[in-house]
Amino acid sequence: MSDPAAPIALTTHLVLLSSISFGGFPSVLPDVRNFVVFVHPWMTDREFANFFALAQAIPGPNMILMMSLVGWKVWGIPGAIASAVATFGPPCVIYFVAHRIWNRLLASWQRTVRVRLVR
Amino acid sequence: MIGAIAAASGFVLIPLTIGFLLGVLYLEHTHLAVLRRVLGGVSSVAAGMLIATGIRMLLPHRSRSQAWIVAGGAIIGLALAKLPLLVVLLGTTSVSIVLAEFGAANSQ
Repeated sequence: MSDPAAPIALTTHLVLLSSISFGGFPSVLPDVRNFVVFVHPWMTDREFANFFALAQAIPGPNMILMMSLVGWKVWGIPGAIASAVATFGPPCVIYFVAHRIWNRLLASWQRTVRVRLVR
Repeated sequence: MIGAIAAASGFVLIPLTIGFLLGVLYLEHTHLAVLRRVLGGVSSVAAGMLIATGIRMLLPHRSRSQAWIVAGGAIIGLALAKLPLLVVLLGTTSVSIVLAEFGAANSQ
């Protein structure tokens, strides 16, 4: 793509969408389609459907693969890497941080309960 | 922390690289009619699987009317009203939490 802002726009959008992809990434797929087919003329509907079909047919992380193919279409290999990271990075970070906070909250909670029980 | 990153990338990186190379190889040859037809068939199957996943997720909750209200709201908002996902998500999750709270209060 000639537009240098395209990869940044795509990556930012994927970061946002992957952060809210409750129920798995397919739940935000219509929004991705809208962004890359209609908002930006990066690919045809047919190509988007092809990426989806391919990602589903190949074993492994389907949606990360699909987004890397979308990124590849927009910005070649760097786009593929950026899109893959934008798809699986944010949820991983959220899980990781949430788990740490959760454990800490639970730990302080347990201490409170224990203290109340003993005294 | 490093272990977490290593595990996550190991889990994703190898299948993703293989899949990506296969995918690109395939997409370079979509001018072949046979491959185009195969892709068309696979995408119908994949779309069907996606719909089946949605139905399977709803089935355990089929006796709860709240679940149908929330699911119906999401479908109307996304498919019919074409609202942005974030708006629908914020709307349905807040309604869902309130409904769940009501349900819990009633059953107690």
